[in-house]
Amino acid sequence: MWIEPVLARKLHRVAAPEDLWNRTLMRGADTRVCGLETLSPAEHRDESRCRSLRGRATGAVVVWGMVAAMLVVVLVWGVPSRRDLVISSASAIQIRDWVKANAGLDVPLLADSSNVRLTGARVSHDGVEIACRVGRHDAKLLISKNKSSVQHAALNANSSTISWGMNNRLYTLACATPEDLRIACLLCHSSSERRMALN
Amino acid sequence: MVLDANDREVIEACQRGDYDAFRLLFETYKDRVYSIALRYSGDEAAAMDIAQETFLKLLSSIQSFRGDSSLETWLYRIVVNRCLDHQRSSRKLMPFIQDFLDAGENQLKKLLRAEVENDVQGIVGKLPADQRIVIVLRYTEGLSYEEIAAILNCSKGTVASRLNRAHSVLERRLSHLRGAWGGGNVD
Repeated sequence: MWIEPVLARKLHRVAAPEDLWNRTLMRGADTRVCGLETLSPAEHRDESRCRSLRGRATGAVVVWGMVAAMLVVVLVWGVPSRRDLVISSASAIQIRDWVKANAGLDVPLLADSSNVRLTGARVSHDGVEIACRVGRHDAKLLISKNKSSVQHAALNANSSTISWGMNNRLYTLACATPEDLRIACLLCHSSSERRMALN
Repeated sequence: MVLDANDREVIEACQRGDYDAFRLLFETYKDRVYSIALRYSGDEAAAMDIAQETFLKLLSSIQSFRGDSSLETWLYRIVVNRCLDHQRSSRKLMPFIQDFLDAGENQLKKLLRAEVENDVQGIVGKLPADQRIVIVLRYTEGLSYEEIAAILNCSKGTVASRLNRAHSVLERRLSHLRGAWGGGNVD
């Protein structure tokens, strides 16, 4: 049949556009993505999870679970402003991709830093805020578009901060203690690089 | 990138919410998903939408994947359903386009119609949905009748029937390419 080779040739597979991944992430963000397992709550409802959520008792658990999750978000992040985008994740690759997609900024976070644990990021009109834990303390890396937002870097009156300019942006690392500050450098630098920079 | 032997491991990682595992799945299947969407819809913007919806659906329903079918079959089902859903949601626009094409036959429109009709993708796009999807799965993905039947949840005979009908229509509408193909060039 002559038509078969014509179709095979004309309907061949093509490469997906380069920006498909970023656009998928952004679309996920539009549907309130906060971590992989809750990427699209609306879609969860019509899938298998829906089947497992039987009965009023289960429904009540879900509602209270959502309330608790919202409280955790508010406690950890504060109340986000209306236009802020927030992601909660411990993956350096995910946060890096997400920040790149939503703020157009490539922050070279290291995926294998055992001393610093990423917890999430926020993109607002002021810039980007990457949150992490150093030991038992919170720490933040703030990347602002202008110097007026430097003061937001301090976690509290006793915190330690360090700021530097790079690529027309101001980077501020804010930690609870000076020692945390040294450790938090591992967010983006290997331990050998850190020693060279701080010595 | 091939997942074959590690499929189960990757799926379990995705079910645990492992971002990197999902990225691996995405990289492995993105071309297949996008190609099906593009060949079915005939439109790059629509294909982008369908591909995004497919991966979001994959992500949101990976918890329910039990391995009763292969990961590929499951993913193909998702993209096929997205294609059909997308067509349903945009169908209301189709009469206007058809009205435009049918209204008057001035020279410009005749040229436009001829251009479209010379394009295999355009002719495939006019097939009924059930025939179009089997054509795409057969020729874009190179799937067997059995594989297509498993994806569409129908019998192998139904797949053969739809393909036969689609072939007949396409042979008729693309008859001008028969000679060109005999000469070795249809591009």
